[in-house]
This record gives sequence, structure tokens and C-alpha cells, in this order.
Amino acid sequence: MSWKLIPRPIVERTSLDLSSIRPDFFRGLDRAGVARTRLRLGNEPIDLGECFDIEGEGEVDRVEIAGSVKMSMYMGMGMNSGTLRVSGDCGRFTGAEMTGGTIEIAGSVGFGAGLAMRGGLMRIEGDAGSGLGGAFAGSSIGMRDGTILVAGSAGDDVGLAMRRGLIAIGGSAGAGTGRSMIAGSIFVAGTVAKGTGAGMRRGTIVLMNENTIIEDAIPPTFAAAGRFRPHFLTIYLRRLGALGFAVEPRLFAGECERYNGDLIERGIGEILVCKP
Amino acid sequence: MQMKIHSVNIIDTFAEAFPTTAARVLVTAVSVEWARVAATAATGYATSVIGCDAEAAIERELAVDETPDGRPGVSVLFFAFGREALEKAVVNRVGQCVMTCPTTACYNGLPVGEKSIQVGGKLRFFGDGMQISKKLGERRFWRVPVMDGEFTCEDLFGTVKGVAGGNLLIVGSCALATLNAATAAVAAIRAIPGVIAPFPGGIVRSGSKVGSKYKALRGSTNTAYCPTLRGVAPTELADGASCVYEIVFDGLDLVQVERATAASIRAACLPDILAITAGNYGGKLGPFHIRLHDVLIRYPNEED
Repeated sequence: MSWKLIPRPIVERTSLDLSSIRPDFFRGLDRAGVARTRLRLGNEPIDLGECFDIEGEGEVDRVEIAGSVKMSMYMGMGMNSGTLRVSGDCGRFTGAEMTGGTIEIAGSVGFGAGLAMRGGLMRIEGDAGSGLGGAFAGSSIGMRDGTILVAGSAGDDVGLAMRRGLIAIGGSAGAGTGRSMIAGSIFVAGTVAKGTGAGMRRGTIVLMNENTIIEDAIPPTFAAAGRFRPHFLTIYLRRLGALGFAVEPRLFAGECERYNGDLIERGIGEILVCKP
Repeated sequence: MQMKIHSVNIIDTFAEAFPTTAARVLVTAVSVEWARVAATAATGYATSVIGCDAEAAIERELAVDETPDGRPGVSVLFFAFGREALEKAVVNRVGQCVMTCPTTACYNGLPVGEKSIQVGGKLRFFGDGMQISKKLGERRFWRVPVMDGEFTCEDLFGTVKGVAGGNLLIVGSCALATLNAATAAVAAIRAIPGVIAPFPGGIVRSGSKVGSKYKALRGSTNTAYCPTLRGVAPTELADGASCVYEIVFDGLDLVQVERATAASIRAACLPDILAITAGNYGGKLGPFHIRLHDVLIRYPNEED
């Protein structure tokens, strides 16, 4: 059993700060306590009970939003345990700074999902906006740990200044994927736009699409370094498969073309293009 | 109490075993043959901690679905007195014998806890700053660039308190028959997971006793079981005995060593074998006393 929050019309019309909707915050609360949880509408506090109908009772570690909250922001921000499921779309900064637990989104998410994330798992069944797993404006470090899985496509700047962790995109990714990446791993099954890996210091970007036109995707400051089979790849692909991410069987064999860069930085990052 | 299996006299005595620290290393490669080449080299000169830095041997082959990177491999067990000694031995052996071997990679095969040893984290420096760390969940892998691509080695390897010094002495009336019986005993031991027999072919012909007339030596030949010394030294051998082989084995826990003891005794009860006994030091040195009669009763067949 879980807490079920059914959005009222106000949620569709206004931009709410939903950072208080976290399974760990609801622990030990009864229904009245959950209803009194403070959200924010602009600069004003507003009770959760005014924005959502509440179902469920008791000590549970799971919260379900039965609908879309795409106008709102900060859903699950800083969450550290439990499961938060949204049956529709989510707005900006979903799961930002989360440290643990699982966020499952049946729809799509807006800008900045998993921004500066430090742990846990975010599973997005639709698309993700720009800045996925990236850094807050003014911060030099993006996602620090955890896993983000996107079944659909993602916008620009996936993993901007990412420090650690794993991001996997089932569809395509926009421009600047892995830009200024410090470390970590990004997997993209579809196409990538220009500027992939620009300014990356370390870390790995795996382009699973064998038809990637590398000259269009990566800056000229990367050096081709031949083909080989990195053994860690199978470990990661198995992990992604175990998490429910669709992995093509062909990826478990074959080699990768490696490009070292970005040479304007330390140059020990890598872009791997999976080949048959 | 007298016990016989197929007319082989099972002596009512015990094997005296010792606590040790153990690690399991999974070596993978492009083929099981290459994995075995690396593992064989890594377990060379690793028969007894009396004279080696560790006791080690191949535990078994691994299918592709049993290894982290989906390639064929072998599992290797290492035993040493203490985590520090174990870490040093594993780092040296993996560094010199696995990393150097074409196509190999190396992974931890035991749960990692507080009592783990660092292997990849030490070998990474060979990468001269070009090594890459990949952290997936709680596991960290080091990718060290080498001339055929890269050597992948897990950072931490779990350790457990294992048991070393399980042993049997197989006494026969004919050297070849005794060797056949010893070979059968080793095969039975190798069928049990978590147990290795680290000596050549799993068999020891130069069994030892504690002490020597020479002060520099901690151990010397087991005169009581040398058939050729009857009449000049006290003997434990019955009339007709002409050959003795010792089987020494280590395990990840006492139960597995006991199972190995029972299974190997049964396997060794072949024609021309007169008796099976075990080596001990009167029970004063090792805390684990594996009584031969007891394990045969408790483990009625090797599948148990």
C-alpha cells in the first residue's frame, strides 16, 4: 500500500514547489499529517491537502502521484529513500539533489531532472528535458552519483559537469551531451547532436548507435584511438538490463571505436562508439 | 573404534587445520584456455605458506554467465595468514601473472565488507596516470591501459576466514596404486566448491613433520611415514606399506573442508590401499580438529 495523491485542478494551473513530497517526509504521518505537509505556491506556503486528494494510510515508504504535475517543480528533491511514482508528467528539477530511493515517472520530465543528484535511481519512461543530471546554474559539479534511466529521448546538456554516476538514454540526446563532464558514464542508444563530450575531463560516453556520424557529433579536439572491446562495457550493459533498460543483444559482442578527449582538457575522457 | 571402507582401514584420528584468510579471484579471458594460462601462472609456487607467500589453486572453470564481463574464466582461491599478507600476495600475483597475460581481466568473487583487500586500486598505478576508474553501485573497476587494449581489475576483493591444512595420508602397498588413489581423492576434493588442493596435482609426496635436527629448518621430512626409514626411525606404517601420499586442502569454511575430507577418503579407498590417516600435531597447534570417522558419519556421501 502507498500514499496516493490525486492532483486537483490547481496543480494543472500553477507552478507549485513540490519538494516536500518525499516518502521519507511522510514516514510516521497519518492522513491529516500528510495533508498538512507544506508545499509552496510562489512565495506562499500551501497545504498539500489543498492541492491533492489523499488516499492511503499508515507507515508506508511509497508515494504515488496519480496524474501529471508538469507545471510544478522540485518533485522528490533531496529524497533519500523510498519510492515516488508519478503516473503522468513531471516538471522542472525533478529528483534534483536526491541521495537515495527511487523515482519512477510514467511520463516525461522537464528541465533539470536529477540535477546535482547524489544517489538513488530515477526511471523516466517518457522523455527528459535539457540539463538531465547536470549542474545547477553557477555550480561546477553536476550529478555526483546515482542512476538515471530514460526510455525516450533527452534534451541538451545531458550530464553537464557530471562527476559520477550513470545516465542511460534509450532514444536520442541533444547537443552537448557530457559537456564538461568530470567523470561518470553516459549511454545513448539513439543519435547525439553536436558538441558531445565538449570539454570533458574524464568519464565515458558510450554511443550505442553504430551509425553515429562521429565527425558531426564530437568536437575536433578528440583523438581517434582505434577499436577494442572494453570489458567493463558488459558489466554496465548487464546492470542496465537488470534495471529494465532496453539493451540490444548485439552490444554484448563486438568492438568499440574509441575517441580520447577532450584534448583541450586533460584528454583522458573517452567516447566509445559501439560497432558490430 | 575400527572403521573400514572396502577393506581400507580408516584410522581413528584427526586432521589438524588452521584459520586463514581467503580471497576468491575470478580471472576471465577471451577463452577459457587463456584464463587458465593466467590462473596457472598466478597460482605457481603457492603450495604452502611454510615457504610461499600464499596457498593458491584454481577452484573451477566459470561459464560465460558466471563471470562479470560475460567471458569464460576460472575461479582461483588464495589463502594466507592475515589480510595484509594476502593482499600483498594477490596484488603481486595478479600484477605479474594475470595483468601480463593476453586478454585477461580480474574480478572479485566474494562479498566485499570491511575486511577486504585492495587489488585493482594498487595495480592501477601501472597505468601511469592514464588508468580509468569506473564505479558501478558499490563496485569500482580499474581500467589499466595495456598493449592489447586494457586490463580491467576490480578495486576491492572480499575476504573470509578460511580453513587451511585439511589433510589425508593415503598408505598403500604399491606406489602406482597409491598414486591412483591419491589422484581419485584430489578429483573428489575438486568437485567440492570452495576447496582447493594447492600442491602439484593436489598431492604431496614430501609430507613434513614439525622441527628438524637442523636449527634453520622449521619442518623436515615426515620420518614416521617414510617407508624407507623403517628400522632406523620410529614408524607409523604397517607391514606391507610401501608408499604414502598426502593430500592437503584449504577451504573457504570448515564445513567445506570436512565435506572434502569425507569425499576424498571414500574416493581413495581403492585396491592395494592399506590405510587412510591424517596429520596432526597432537591438537596443540590448530583449532580445527577434523576427525576422520566423524566426518564419514556426518557426510554419508559426497553429494551431501
